[in-house]
Amino acid sequence: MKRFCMAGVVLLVMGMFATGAFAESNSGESCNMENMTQQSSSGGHSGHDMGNMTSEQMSGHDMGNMTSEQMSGHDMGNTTSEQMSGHDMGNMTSKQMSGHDMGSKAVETREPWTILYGFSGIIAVVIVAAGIMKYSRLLKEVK
Amino acid sequence: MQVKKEKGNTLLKAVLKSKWYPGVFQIPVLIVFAFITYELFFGPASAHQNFGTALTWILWWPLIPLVFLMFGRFWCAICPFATVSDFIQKVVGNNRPVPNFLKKYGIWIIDIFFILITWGDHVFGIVESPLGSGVMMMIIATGVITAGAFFERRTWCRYLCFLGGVAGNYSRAGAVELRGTAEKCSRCTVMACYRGGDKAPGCPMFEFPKAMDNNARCNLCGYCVKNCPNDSITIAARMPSKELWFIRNPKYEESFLAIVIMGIVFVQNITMLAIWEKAQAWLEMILGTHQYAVTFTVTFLVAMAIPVALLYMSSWQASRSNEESVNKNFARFGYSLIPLDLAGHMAHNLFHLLAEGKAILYTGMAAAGMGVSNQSAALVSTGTIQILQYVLLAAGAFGSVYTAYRIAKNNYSTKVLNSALPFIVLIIVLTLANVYFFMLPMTHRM
Repeated sequence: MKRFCMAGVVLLVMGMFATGAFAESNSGESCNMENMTQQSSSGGHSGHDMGNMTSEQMSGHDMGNMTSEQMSGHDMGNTTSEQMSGHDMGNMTSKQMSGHDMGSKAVETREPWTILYGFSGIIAVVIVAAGIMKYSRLLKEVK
Repeated sequence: MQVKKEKGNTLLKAVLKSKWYPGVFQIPVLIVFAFITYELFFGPASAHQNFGTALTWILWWPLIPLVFLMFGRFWCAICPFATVSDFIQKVVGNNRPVPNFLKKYGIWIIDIFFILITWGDHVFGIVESPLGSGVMMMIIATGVITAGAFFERRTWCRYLCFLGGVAGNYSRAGAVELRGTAEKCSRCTVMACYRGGDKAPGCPMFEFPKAMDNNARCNLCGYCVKNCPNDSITIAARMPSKELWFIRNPKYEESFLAIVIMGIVFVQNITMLAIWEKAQAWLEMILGTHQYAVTFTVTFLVAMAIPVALLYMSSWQASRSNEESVNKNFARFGYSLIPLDLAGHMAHNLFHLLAEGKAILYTGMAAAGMGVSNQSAALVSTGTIQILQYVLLAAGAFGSVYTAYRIAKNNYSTKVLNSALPFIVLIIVLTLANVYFFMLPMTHRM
């Protein structure tokens, strides 16, 4: 009985979590460019968001004389293409770069939540499925 | 009356027997893991400012090979993924038997996972991206929980975990071993160590201490120690790498993993060197593409293939002397590379730990809202790190050479030197390659 109750509570919480996850991931579709981070920008949007691009992703972008090596390790924050456009990246070296704030604003993107909720949703579905299998078998045995 | 002295280390055994173990470690580790996951997802997007990245890749990853060397797979007993999986299993676990294909191809799957994760790290950015690290953790968590929810015991840890595979190989060279006492086990009919008892579940790693002759799967969870009614289980310190000298049933796939790890350490070294830029430009010219995924994949495959090919050549040379097949020699002597693997892995990560160690403090302070001025993250000078790296490599090379000799001695009593020599030459070549890489300037992770 105790195990049944415990499992019931867990399933209920996970079910609620899963519902929330799907709702959240749907709302994520309306994310604008400002909220995009590395993952979303690395695909079809290359050239727009300089967010958290890696040195490889940076290649092809005109960053003056900087090499990809110099770029790596520097925080380009979540600066969007619009925010970037006002900055002259001219011939800055990595040393010169280090003093510039490239928009280290607090990360307020929705994407981490979407990813986390997505995984939580999958985990919740797995747990619910396993729970149903287990307890339906136990119920059959009891009957 | 003479009291018979108990075998093994009584203090370690008492720790393993305690009802507080392994929970006393599992809970804090789980809390830290939850915090790291939070930081990776919601902390600063830049790796060099993220406390989760620092804790994972500057502290945990460099220290984990040392833990394997000192305490075998102890980490697996307190691993937060496994703790979550155990809990899920208690509540909704179906305890189905492990699928046969996992039993048959488990180590190959681990080999492939390990290769893919390393490849993915470079192509998609896992270490350099907190979000990437977070996603990797969630992928692993999903896999572990799925395995725990449907299959018995720790199916994931035994058959699928890539770190478990590496841990299994490294812990064979470890300094601690847990074994059953043959005389006591032979009379036992209860087998609570495997089946479980009132005090603890059965071995989560599907091991039977009575027949266990290696550390590859034992995670020192202590369940068998708690359950055994005959007090048969002993835990004792031993000479590191000693187990590798007497492997009765060498497995090709485990030797393959040993040599693949060597290739992976080479890749990690090469891509962090200043010459990587030039090598990449050259590759781009040869391949006619600027796609990093392509150039890296080629480098990765070549770096992986060279050590495997060299081990094959050594095996072929040895097979001419000892008249065993090339594959048998590959499987048998591949284990001799494990000490050098371990040393190379530790030496590479020692750089990150010692050259970037203060990043843990700085990012931690930043996470706590304290201001941090730009200072060097190095704990010691580059020269000191290099000396330590060479010392580690020398110890690893010695361990590997001696292991190759002992393997030859135990298996080919008349042609010891001829059998061991090709592998000793290989070990020296691989050591020199490592020494060369560590002489070159390396970029930081953070």
